[in-house]
Amino acid sequence: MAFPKLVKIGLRQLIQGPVTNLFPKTPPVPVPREFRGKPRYDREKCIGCGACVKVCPSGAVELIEDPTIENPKKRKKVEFYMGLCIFCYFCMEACPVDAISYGDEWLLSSYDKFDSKLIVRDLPEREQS
Amino acid sequence: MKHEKLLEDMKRILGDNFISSYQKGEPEAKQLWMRIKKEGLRDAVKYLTSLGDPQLSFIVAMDLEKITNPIVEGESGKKLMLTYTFTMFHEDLGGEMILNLVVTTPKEDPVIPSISDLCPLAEVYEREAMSIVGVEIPGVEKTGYGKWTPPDFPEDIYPLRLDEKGLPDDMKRRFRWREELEKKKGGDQNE
Amino acid sequence: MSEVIRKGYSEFVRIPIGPIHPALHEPYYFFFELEGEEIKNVWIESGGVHRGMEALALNRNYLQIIPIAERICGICSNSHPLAYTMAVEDAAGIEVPERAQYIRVIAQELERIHSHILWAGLGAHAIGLDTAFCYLWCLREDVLDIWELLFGGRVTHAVNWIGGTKKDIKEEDIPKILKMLKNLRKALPEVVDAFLYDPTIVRRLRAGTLTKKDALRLSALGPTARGSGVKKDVRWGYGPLAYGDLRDDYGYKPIIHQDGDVYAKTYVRLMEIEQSIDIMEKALDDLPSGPYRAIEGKTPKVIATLKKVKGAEGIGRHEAPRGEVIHYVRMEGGEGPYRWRPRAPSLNNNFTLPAMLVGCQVADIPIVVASIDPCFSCTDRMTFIDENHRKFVLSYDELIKISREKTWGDA
Repeated sequence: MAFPKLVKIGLRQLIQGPVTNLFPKTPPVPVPREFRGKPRYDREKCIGCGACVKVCPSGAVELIEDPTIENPKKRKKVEFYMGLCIFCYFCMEACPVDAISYGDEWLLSSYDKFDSKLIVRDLPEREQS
Repeated sequence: MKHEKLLEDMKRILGDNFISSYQKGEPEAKQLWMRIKKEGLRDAVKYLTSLGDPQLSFIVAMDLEKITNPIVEGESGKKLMLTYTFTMFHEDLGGEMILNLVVTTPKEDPVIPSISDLCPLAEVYEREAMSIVGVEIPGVEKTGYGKWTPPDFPEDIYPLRLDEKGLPDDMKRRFRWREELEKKKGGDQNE
Repeated sequence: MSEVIRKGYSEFVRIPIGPIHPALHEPYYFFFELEGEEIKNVWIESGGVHRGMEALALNRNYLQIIPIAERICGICSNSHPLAYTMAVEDAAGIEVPERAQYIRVIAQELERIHSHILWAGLGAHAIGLDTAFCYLWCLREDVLDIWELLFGGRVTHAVNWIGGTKKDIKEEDIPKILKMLKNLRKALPEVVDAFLYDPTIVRRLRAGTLTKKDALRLSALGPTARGSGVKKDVRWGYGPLAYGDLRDDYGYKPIIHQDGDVYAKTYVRLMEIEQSIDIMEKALDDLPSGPYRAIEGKTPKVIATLKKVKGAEGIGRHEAPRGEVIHYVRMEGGEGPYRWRPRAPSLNNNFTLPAMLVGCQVADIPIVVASIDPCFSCTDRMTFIDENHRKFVLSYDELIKISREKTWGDA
């Protein structure tokens, strides 16, 4: 063959085995520290100022009123629709009280756009309880 | 200095067609913004061809309808503006600069001379200007490479015009996702 | 033999696909006039896709345009938002802190490395060298991992911010970047040697010549121009960001090659990978301390600062992997720009294709078209007109097949 160099690479790769991870058969590769996944939103910290709604480029953040809160002045909260989110984290840059932080959840595929796992209402641990 | 010589030569060649200019970057200019009359455009580009092939970067077409703070007096109202951006002295490391030739034309008479015989690439951008703001450039066809509106697009609508010739509301697509969401929410309340 | 092929193609034309092929990238039409195998004339038509980004920007604020710009091109996803932020800073007269400039240089050079490796892999794929293709894309994976580590995303980096960068580079990440660069420096020469010195590949790359005269006449950009001997590189000529300092300190020069064919463009790109690795090492070494944003505070502060600027125009330009990216911004005191005009380098470079393709063979089309790196999308669908003015259409797969047959023979 006319490619001694590439043949060498090819043979070496044969011995090495695949470099790719056979997900979902094997566990996924861990994500780094500040991975931009599904955002973590702390509802208790949120003051409902709407800065994130104003800056969101895709309109994935919506201002809502939470009727369960007693004080009517503090009822304003937000909801994140992951079906629209583009993971730019501008909402985090906008938040004056740091209620939004990096989340590492990325397995977000779903058949329904309004699936409950595609709507962020609170921190995941608090939402479950 | 190079940009001063360029400016002097341009003033000499354009004469009355030269309006004003300003520079960014001191002492050596990085950008030179030059306002000229459209009658002088071809003369200016002809002068650039004498320095070697003009390296056109792009042409920006703009509708001045809603301008409230004109950079040069009279640069607002019912007018269209084209900015021709050329890269100058690219062979000189550290001395490269940008020359912007700004031309305006009233909307009643949106004719601007073509420079595509002096700089072949300009034809692409001229076609773009024709299809998005409705400038008329004689000698350039409104089809082929660089026509940016779809084939079935209406003839007399220009997407980036800010007046009545711009995109009508019924041609703008609604954000369907939002409608679905509202419907879904309404459905939940009914249940 | 030619008869048999033509019959095959005319059968193919009956399949109604397009104008936008669902499986392929951007839509562009190429019309070729053939005399036998030789291309005599080429037309290009564009306008198959209309994304309306500039109109979309009319009702967005300054920050919301950054993600839109990021999505102009999937591979130059750092160049466009960077050029946009530079245009806004130029118009508003914002001085970017030095640390931010270096971080931008590092992000930009990472993008160049990844884009050029990607291009070399796709070029190898087009001429039938799948070993090189897989190996190069395996190397590219390490670069993407560094992206993910530094800025949290593999394709969209979301690192640009008006007046600086969105994220800082942390001290503990620098050894990881240097390790990746060292590995890359070790692994690349094997493939580079194969590309530049292997007789079969070199023979295949000797096609599609763009003369210096044509490159200058058609305002070619980036590696397309530099492969034809035009010394045109925004990084070293114009000196945006920290590139001016790096040039003065270390004497960087544009990499040029005089031949003008696909081989020359390949040479320029592969050598630029090495240059970029070098720049990154130097930039990480020189990384100054200090703030990384000019406007302190959250988004409302940034928008309020930009809202004060009235009647200003600015241009942001710098060298993307494919050539000069240039954005124009006009500010009129609103929350968003009055006019935003981006321009991708492929627009200038696509125009040089007719000059390159005339005289080539049909089998050379994939590699010649790929040589300008038009996001590799231009081979979408091609119409051929033979001497009898019969039209027939070749799909991307068919073109790749004939291209490979030219390298490997009929077998």
